Amino acid sequence: MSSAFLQQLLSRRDTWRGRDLDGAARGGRPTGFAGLDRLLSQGGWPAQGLVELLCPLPCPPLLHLLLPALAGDQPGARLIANPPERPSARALARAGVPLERLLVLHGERDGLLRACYEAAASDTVATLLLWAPGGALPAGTLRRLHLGAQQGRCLLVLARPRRAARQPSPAPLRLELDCPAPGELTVTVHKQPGGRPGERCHLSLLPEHLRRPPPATATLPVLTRRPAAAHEPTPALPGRPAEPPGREAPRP
Amino acid sequence: MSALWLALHYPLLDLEAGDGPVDRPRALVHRHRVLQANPAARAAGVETGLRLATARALCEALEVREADDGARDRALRHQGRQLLALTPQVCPAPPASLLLEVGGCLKLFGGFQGLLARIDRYRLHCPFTTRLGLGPTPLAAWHLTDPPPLEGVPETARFQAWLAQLTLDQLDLEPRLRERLQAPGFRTLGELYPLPRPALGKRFGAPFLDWLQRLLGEKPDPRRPLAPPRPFRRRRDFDDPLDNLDHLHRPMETLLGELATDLERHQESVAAIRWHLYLNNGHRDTLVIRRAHPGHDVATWLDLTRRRLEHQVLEAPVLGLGLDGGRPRPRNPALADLFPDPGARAPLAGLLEKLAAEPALRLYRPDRDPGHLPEETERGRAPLERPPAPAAPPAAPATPEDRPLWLLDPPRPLSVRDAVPHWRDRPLSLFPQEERFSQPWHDQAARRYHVAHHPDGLCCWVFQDDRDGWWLQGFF
Repeated sequence: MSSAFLQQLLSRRDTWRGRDLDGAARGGRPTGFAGLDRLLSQGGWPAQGLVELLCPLPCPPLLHLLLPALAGDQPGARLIANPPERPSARALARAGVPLERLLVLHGERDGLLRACYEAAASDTVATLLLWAPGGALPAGTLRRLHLGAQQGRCLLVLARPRRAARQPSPAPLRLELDCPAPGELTVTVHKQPGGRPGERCHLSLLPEHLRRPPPATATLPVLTRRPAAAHEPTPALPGRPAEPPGREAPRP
Repeated sequence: MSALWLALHYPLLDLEAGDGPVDRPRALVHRHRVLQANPAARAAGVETGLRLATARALCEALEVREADDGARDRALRHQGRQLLALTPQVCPAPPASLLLEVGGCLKLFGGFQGLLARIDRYRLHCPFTTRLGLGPTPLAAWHLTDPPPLEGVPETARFQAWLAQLTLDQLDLEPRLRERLQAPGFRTLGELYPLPRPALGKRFGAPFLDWLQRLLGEKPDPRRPLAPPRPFRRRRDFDDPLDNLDHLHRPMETLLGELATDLERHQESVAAIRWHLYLNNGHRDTLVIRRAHPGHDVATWLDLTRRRLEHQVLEAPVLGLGLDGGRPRPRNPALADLFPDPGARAPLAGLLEKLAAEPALRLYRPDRDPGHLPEETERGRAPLERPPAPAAPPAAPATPEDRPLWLLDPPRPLSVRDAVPHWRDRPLSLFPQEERFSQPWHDQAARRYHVAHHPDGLCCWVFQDDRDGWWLQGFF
């Protein structure tokens, strides 16, 4: 293979280079977790572009992982798009997230993706956290999001279900998340520029007293008061129709 | 920069207020006497003061009009608003004149000649007969009509000389006062110049002295400028009903252009506009377009309108389009950075406006609320709402409690098996620590909160109500 042909191949925009020597090889945004910083070849989150997190959806600890990226006083807005539940403003504020620059966006699929592209490309949003809406995400859409995020200097974190790992993706960084125990998270590299897949690290996200498993005696009927009668009426919250307790809402 | 006043007289405004100058003979009549006649009527011999019967005998085709003060004032105000494009100081001088202070805007129009060119263009397109006056004071401009061709602004002495040549008959004085002035032998205004002012006041009255001093610029002559018309409201009707929303873009652009011109004229901007679509079935659809900060540019308003229109469904063809301009605010442009910070981001307002204009998206800013129950401590503020003062007292750090990062609102019921709450069919293991939240008095039920671990690797926040039901409130 001639060197000219190689150069030509390398200069194609859709050629993915495992080790990007000329670009921002280092100098990523610190993630706030020393273990994760060591794992990532850039020493942190990339400054811009698409990052895929493959996790069992919905993944509540995922927001913990990104709290340090959302916090801080760097310029630019933070956008949380399509979260599975309501992020608590009080907890976010305590973690140092500037609420006046935080937005939460909901919408149906196409409008949501378009709005996210627009937000990422607008050079306004510094961090965008998007829970992938239902349905397949074609590679073209992901590529558009990646290019938009690069254009708008935005770190776009896309949370996708773990089964998407088999699909190819234009995201330079893909990480797989796993929750082995409450308050703990295992991060496995699935794809990384300048890195090897399969490397992993363990992070603890919650304070010690919440991570420690409760004492065995506390699975307790002691705590739970016995029902006064066998035909206990179904619990009902004020102002809400009673629902049978066995039928919880299905979670995506 | 010295003051320079322009006067625009509309001598035949009473006759022309309705439909402009006409070639037919026409006369204004009051109590069977001719008050005014247009050139065609005068050519036929009709003159001011003639009896109506005589005038009719002289000119058979004479069209007779009664004075309509309302129509004349409306026409004068309308002309005044057009002239607001030249200067903000347009003062109506009833019955049929406008006085414009133009000393302050000479530079804007490229000097005196440029200004006169603008005035000439205006007079060319004006539907009424006009006469121009020029002077250093409003009264002088009113009197010095039809100035000779000028190269630049004449100096004050020249104006004084012109004023001196005015005969007393040309002055805007009451007939009795004019007779009293003429009695001692005065003929022109210039003959009054050398006389001592106090003596003039003593002899002809203080009002005359005041008038003379204002005319000569020895005393200020404050005038109330014409107020700009408010609010902006336009409607455009279509000959053929439009059933495609894309066809609305062009008329919308035109209307927004008019709005922008209007705002430009008054140096104002608006924060919200309202579109009215008048439908064929008699209904009216209203679209409200808001912006984060008041603006005045056509492009942004049009872009936001298009985004909003994309989600609009037409029930019937559109017969007309209306635009309400909202409340105008004075424009207060921010200072631009000479050397912008390279790390700086584009302002958030632009993105907010775009996202808020899409009705299919729900956008909010999370914020704290002083509620009691956990789900009441959250609230979403509208994206375009003005953020509150940043001096909000941080009340939260006083209580170092563990609060979950995710809140479920409303809480989800949990199934209970063997007195142990289950979620996703797997048992939760509870921490023994308990936190109580009493509900409002009308429920009388306390909630007892526990932290619980779920086998899926989740840390949950659950509570038990008084009726032993278990609920999932949040995730850590």
